[in-house]
Amino acid sequence: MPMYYFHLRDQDTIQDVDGTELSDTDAARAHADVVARELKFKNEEFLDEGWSKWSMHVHDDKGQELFSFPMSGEKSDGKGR
Amino acid sequence: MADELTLVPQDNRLLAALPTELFALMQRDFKQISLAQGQALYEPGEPIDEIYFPLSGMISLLVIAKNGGAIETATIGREGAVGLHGGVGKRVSFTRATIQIPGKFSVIRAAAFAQSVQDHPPLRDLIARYTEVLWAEAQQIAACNAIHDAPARLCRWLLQSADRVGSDHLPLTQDLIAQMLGVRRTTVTLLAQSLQRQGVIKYARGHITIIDREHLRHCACECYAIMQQEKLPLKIGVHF
Repeated sequence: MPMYYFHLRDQDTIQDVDGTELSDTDAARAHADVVARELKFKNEEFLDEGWSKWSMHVHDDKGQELFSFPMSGEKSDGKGR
Repeated sequence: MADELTLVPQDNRLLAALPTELFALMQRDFKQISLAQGQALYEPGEPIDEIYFPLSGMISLLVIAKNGGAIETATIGREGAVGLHGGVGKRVSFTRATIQIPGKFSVIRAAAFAQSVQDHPPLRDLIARYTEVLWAEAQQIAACNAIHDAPARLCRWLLQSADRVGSDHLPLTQDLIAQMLGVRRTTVTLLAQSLQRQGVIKYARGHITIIDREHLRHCACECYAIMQQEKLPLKIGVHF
């Protein structure tokens, strides 16, 4: 199965250094949705201004961006779930 | 962490709480062993043959789901013990118990422990008191898993684990942490990177070091403060 990488970006990048093995891009969308949901937090001490200015960028194992979405929204495009 | 070579049984809070004469009597039944990460001590439904008192490592209790997934329901370090109920009669483990952080452990066979418990009421009392503390913790963790978000739980878990082993250096992979918290590994990787970026932790493959404990406390849910091992027993009127 191919590897997918889920990076976070504002001006800076938080690298998903490990990646995850998934069956296809649809599975990567579903994974991205779950991760985006799990990353959410209420306590602002964790990160000033939360993830509102960040977006998630999903890459394949060649470093090619497949899709991205703003973390302020709920999902990649709704297909994931 | 204390120097491994100088660890003594009294580095475990429960063993330290025993009257000196009683501990001296039991000492020959205890052996000190090293256990490696991932080693399983009990499986659900298996008899409790030995009782483990951590001196430096940490044990996780895991409930195993039908699909093979496991979720952590308790962690035990030098403040506690695993399998104490083997001292009041033949008991069977409800959870899987595995070594989460390797270290040194004082171990006693359940039969020998049960004999001592029968002869010495303070031991029975110790089991009862520790059970009260574990029960309080289990309730707090059930609530935490249900209502708190993953970032807050991760911070709580790191602080709690550091207390359990008495060290800010935790040999843990994000895979393990993800399993413990019931979230995707990607989530743990991104949260750990984010904390590292802010200088709160240092994170390399398989190792996490807490740099800014104060900041981590601010990020953790209130469950950390509630369950702090020096405070929780007193909160419910239990003294060791």
